[in-house]
Amino acid sequence: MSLLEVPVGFSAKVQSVPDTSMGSRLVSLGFIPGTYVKVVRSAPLGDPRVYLVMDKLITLRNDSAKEVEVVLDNDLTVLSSAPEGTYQVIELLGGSAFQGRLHRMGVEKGKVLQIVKPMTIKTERGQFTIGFGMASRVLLRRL
Amino acid sequence: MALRVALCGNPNVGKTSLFNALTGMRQYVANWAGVTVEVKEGIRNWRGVKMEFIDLPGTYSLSSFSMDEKIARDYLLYKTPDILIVVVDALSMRQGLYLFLEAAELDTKIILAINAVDEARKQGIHIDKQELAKHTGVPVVLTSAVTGEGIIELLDTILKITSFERKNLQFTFDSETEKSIQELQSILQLRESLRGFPLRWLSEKYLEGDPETVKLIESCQVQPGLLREKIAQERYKHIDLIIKEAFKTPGSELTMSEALDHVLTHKYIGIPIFLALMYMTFTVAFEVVQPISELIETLFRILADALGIFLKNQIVSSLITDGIVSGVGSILVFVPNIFVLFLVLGIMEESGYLPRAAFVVDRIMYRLKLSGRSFMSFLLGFGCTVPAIMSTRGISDQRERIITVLSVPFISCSARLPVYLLLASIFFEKNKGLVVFSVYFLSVVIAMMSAVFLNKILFKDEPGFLVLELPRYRMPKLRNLMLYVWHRGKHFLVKAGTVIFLASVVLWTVSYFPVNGDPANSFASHIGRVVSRVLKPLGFDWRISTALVFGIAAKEVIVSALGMFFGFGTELSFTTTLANSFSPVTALALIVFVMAYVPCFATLGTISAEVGKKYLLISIFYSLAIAYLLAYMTKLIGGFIL
Repeated sequence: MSLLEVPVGFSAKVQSVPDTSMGSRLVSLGFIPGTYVKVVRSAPLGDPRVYLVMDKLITLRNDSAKEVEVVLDNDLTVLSSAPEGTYQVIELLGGSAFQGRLHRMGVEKGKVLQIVKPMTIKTERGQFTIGFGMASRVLLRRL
Repeated sequence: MALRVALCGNPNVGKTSLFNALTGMRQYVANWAGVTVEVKEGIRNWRGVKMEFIDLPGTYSLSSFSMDEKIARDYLLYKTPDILIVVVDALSMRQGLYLFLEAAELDTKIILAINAVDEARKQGIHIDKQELAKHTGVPVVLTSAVTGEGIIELLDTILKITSFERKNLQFTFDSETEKSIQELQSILQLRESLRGFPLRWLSEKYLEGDPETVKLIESCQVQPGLLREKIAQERYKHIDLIIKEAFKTPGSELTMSEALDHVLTHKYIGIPIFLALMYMTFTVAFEVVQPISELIETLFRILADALGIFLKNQIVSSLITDGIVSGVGSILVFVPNIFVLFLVLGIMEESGYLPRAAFVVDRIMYRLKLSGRSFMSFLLGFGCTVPAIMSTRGISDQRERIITVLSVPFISCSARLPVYLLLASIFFEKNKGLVVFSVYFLSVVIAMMSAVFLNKILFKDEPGFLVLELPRYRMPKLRNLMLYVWHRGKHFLVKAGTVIFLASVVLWTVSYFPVNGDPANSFASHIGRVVSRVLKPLGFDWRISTALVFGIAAKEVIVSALGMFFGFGTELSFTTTLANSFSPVTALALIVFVMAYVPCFATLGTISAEVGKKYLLISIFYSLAIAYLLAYMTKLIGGFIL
């Protein structure tokens, strides 16, 4: 998954940085494969976001963060980038309207769901396909 | 010979404060050819030894991704100092030690200064100096630019290590990486052109993919940037080891910085706070000091009048009163604005708010391929273009800075308002407000379009990526603020001031001669007559054209110039003559033209001083072209509607 998909407040381990001058810049700032990056907060308009890396706060535009590949810890992932398998819902990162829509599909905190193919889930209420925007705000743990 | 001591370190580690503490007030901004980034130099005599300090721009590493980094890197590589002080922030050691490990490969003696130890102690961080010295192999000094701790020790350490041989303190990578470095090094050894360079350093930089080093080495069978991540990984692994041995850090808690960030970059109130602070800056820089500016103007007028009485020779009298005195006056009028503006900006920068401000509004400017940092300069442009352009200092991306400098003049400054008001109230009495508002709106649109256009033309849409560090908040120190304001204010007086002064005298000459003191028959009016041929399609006669020529001195002069040309020799009032002389459409075209055409002398002087003569010329022709185009379109479209 990309660094952009990591929700605010979570840490992720850097997998790879693009092979561009921006990438080299990031490496020199400490975005090195193997290091942990924490998403600290996002700007009022959602872009850019602040990351904690090597004890310092670095802002990165979302277009740049999208190019950094990371993995979440403890088998955590977001629905948008989860492969097929069985998962437990850890967190729904959104307001009540967002949560309500997911509830109607049977997606609730603590519930178990299956991913049958990318972005398509199977819950006790049936099978649903979810858009990227929503899916990227559903935090899962692989079981 | 003076001992050359350079300071380098990450941005925001308090390097400049340390530099101020080391050199006191004996410092100046170095004038490095082609360099717009500020590099300060200072001198200190310590125990009979003369030391020359150089404050290099803050860098994260010695790779050259930005102008700042290139300057620091090139200085260390080509003009290697006798002693290098690597300044590291005690609260954020890793990045600083990374820079240290890179610098250690260069051929210079190094002192490690761990700065902000007072803050570190407050947070319960314990630093073991001896352990750190053992692991790094260089003298370590714990300093605080705030309390003055360690400054004397640092100066003594500089003296002490000059008499010792330089120790070779090389960090050894794992065998595989080491093999690649040595292989490349042996290839580079054969190059005649690289003689005298630290080859191991170059090899590492090449394998890291540093653009400048890759350019320097040119073709080579080894792929550049091959070990980019490997080298960084190993260095950080080593750093973590050092930190584990030499530092004791208690568990982190919510710090003051985080609490402030929560408010100042808040989802809902972050932008209102930003706008409120901007409004405050604006008010202080343009309104609060207005009486002082007016006082200066009045004083100079009185001085000119007084001199006029004593000087009998008409030409000399006019040269001194209208040319020189008012020329000097037109520079000094800006001084209160500029000094106060930089005081406010200095507080924002020193306290750590400025990068947050850029962060908060970055999204708005991103579409224009600019960053939040230039947003502020555009806002200031509504007050006066001169300080707005000066505020572009500190935009680290040179591309963005030039685009901002060339686009800010389109934002309607307060000097243009009297022209709009005069013309709007004569020709559009009923819709006066609407007309003035529309011009302001248009000026914003044009400035934005200009940014996009210039990016395409001058920089071929180079992608700009913004990577900002948000430093922790600090209490601004008075001494640092004063130096900050003084360096920038002086820069304006010396560099922009000379251009403005010369231009005022030239303008006086062309408006005074050949028929002593009759503007309608002066060289300026001849110029106006020639210019009017070009401006004819817009409906501007020689009188308007001449007024526009005068307006280059200062936009508000257009009002008095129009009064002069349209008011003379008739019984009717000046406004009536003006109203009868041309159509509302022409008036509208004139308003639009005034909004966009050549920036005033003060602005041109500032542009030249800030980004160079090349952009001064570009600015003149670019703004003229845009103004002509806009006025012509106004004329065409207005002809249909009005």
